[in-house]
Amino acid sequence: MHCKELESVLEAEGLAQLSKDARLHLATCGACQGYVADLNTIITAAKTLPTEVNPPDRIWISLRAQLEAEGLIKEPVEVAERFSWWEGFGAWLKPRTLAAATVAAFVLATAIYVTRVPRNNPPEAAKNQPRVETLSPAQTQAGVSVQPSSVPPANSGPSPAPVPSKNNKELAPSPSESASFTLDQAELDVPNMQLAGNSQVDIALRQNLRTLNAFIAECELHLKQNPQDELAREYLNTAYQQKADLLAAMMEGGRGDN
Amino acid sequence: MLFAASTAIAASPEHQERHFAVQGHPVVVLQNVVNGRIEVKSWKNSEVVVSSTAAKDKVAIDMEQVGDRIDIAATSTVAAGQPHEVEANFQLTVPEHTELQLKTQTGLIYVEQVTGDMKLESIAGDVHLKEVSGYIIVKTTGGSLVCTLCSGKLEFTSVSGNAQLLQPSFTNVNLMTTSGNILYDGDFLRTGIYTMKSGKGLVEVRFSGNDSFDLQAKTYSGTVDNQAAQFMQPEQHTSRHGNKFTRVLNRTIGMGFAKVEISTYSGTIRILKRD
Amino acid sequence: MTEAEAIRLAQAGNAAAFEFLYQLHGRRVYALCLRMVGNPADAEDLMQEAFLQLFRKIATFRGESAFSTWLHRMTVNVVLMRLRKKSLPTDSLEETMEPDAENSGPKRDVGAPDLRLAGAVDRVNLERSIEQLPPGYRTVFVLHDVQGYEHNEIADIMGCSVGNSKSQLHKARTRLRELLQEEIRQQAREERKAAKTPTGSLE
Repeated sequence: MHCKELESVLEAEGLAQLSKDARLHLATCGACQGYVADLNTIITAAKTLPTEVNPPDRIWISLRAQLEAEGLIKEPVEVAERFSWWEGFGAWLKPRTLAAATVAAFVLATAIYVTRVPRNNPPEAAKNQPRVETLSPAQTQAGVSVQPSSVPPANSGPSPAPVPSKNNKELAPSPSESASFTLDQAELDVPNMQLAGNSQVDIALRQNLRTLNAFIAECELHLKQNPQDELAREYLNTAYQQKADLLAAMMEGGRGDN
Repeated sequence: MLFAASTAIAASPEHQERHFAVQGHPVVVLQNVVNGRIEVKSWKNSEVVVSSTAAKDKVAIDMEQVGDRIDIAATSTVAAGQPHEVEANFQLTVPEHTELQLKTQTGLIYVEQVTGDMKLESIAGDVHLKEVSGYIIVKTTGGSLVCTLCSGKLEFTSVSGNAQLLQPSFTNVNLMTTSGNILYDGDFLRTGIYTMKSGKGLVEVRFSGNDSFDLQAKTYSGTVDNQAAQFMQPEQHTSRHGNKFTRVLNRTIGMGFAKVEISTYSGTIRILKRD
Repeated sequence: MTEAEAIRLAQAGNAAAFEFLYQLHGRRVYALCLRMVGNPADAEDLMQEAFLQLFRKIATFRGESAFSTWLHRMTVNVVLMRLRKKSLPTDSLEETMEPDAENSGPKRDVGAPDLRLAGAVDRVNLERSIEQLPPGYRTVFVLHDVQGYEHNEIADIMGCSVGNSKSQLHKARTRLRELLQEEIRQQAREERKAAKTPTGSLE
């Protein structure tokens, strides 16, 4: 066997089991001995390379986000992308901070006033709102709002406020109108509060509240005329959520000074 | 190992420095409920150094360490009416891999060369990030975000703040501002998802010849200023059409590997090619 | 959870199942990508794409082959497509996978004295040399000698014959030998040059 023939054998069969002729050639050819030795050195060195390497965590984070975005992960998520107005309103109220939970709690109290629950038979919910019982009808009509610090925190996730209506014969407002009403009620108390002793923050919060209100008004007007516009609905939902966050931030600061 | 230190600043402006030894990737939580700047830089030591400078007799700074978690809180001790005197500035030096949760009201949040998950919140202060990597969540009311040479995943929400992403390498971006502007000037990574929304502001995207993405730009009453139409083909991958209320532009650049969705309610959308 | 259970649950869209499969195979896939492209940034990108393709198609997996083989086949395809786009004209993938009888593979000067590699090959110069291999050679070498796949598995992954896999492996090893010898010679030249240069010289 010649060197070239040995090479062909190595190419076809590898180094593991050489034929008798190949072994005989190797025994007598120094160059081929060196060649085979080098290949074995390479194979041995290759075995020392790690077969597993830890990938960075961000790969899974990004991959999972993509799987969710493509709908390959079919488990329910905390806040679904598509939900009805009313479910959405409840959904973004749930994870709010204590301040925002307080907002929802006294909004509930306000809603109960609007529906004019009889004093001699208050509903269970109203019994948990002491300020509701002590305000006189005259004060109610004057628009006095409940101070957030006096309202006991809602321990359970607040459910959406009951739909207020002026009289029992009217149809209940749409979910968007209810959401708007609830936030407007919460906002009523903002001017009465002494916000966190920081005029720069106060100015920033009020300016942004004005920005949001203007945008919400624009979207609501458009949606009244074009209720099928999903893009406007999406922006309005986001604006409501931002307003709730902003009101919660304002109240956090206000409560600190009361 | 639990260390608790409550320090009332008696003289002004007083500089204070605390060192915290850590073992793994630390978690640093800083709630600055007064004015002031928060600056975070990294180093190779397994130590978190917190330097604070606070106004006299006005601020209480609490620091507590439990294992690798360090909690820092700065609160005002004055009555309302003297807001401009209440300020605490912080400088943090942290290991390169650190998780951050920072909250402030009006000061700048600045983070440089840190890798890790971050939640950064501010009311009126801006957030500047440089060479930062990780799952980054930024929430502001009016503050703006400037992100330079950052990577990972980014979520930004603001009422009126702007967002500028310069030379980013994010695989996932979700930007939302009601009235602010958005600028994205960088590459779109293959299989990345990029969502940019502004209610009334301008959303501008600058891409390069190497980029490859499916683009959807939609607006109710805004303008779509497409200055790169000659580099685009009709969208190849999905069928997403607008409706009578929404103007939609669907295009593909290159092979359409990444997904870019831009939307405004009434703001302008601008798309242009960098080179 | 077993792999089979995870596959079934992932086909139904279960997030934990996806993560289980990722954790089970991710380290080997990442090592493969890293070895093939030589830099972490590209390796991360390719790994994500490989898993994305896998999870998109997981509903079609019927168990005809081992799941890991299916995954690695997808990974190799993703990597080779990327390398094909970046490859130089003289190193076309087709050339390395379908060798020409006359001009195929590296040549060994038969009978010429060779520089012995024993004791001179370390992890650093080996990895550097692997990066210089043409994509086809590199793939087979990494799959066989580093990752430990058999030729029948490699043939399945790469869509070639067992004979082709063996041939490519031999050529890869021979080419690596040349690259390592050249690197060792270069190191020796630099050491001789350094020895001749007086201390403090500006050279």
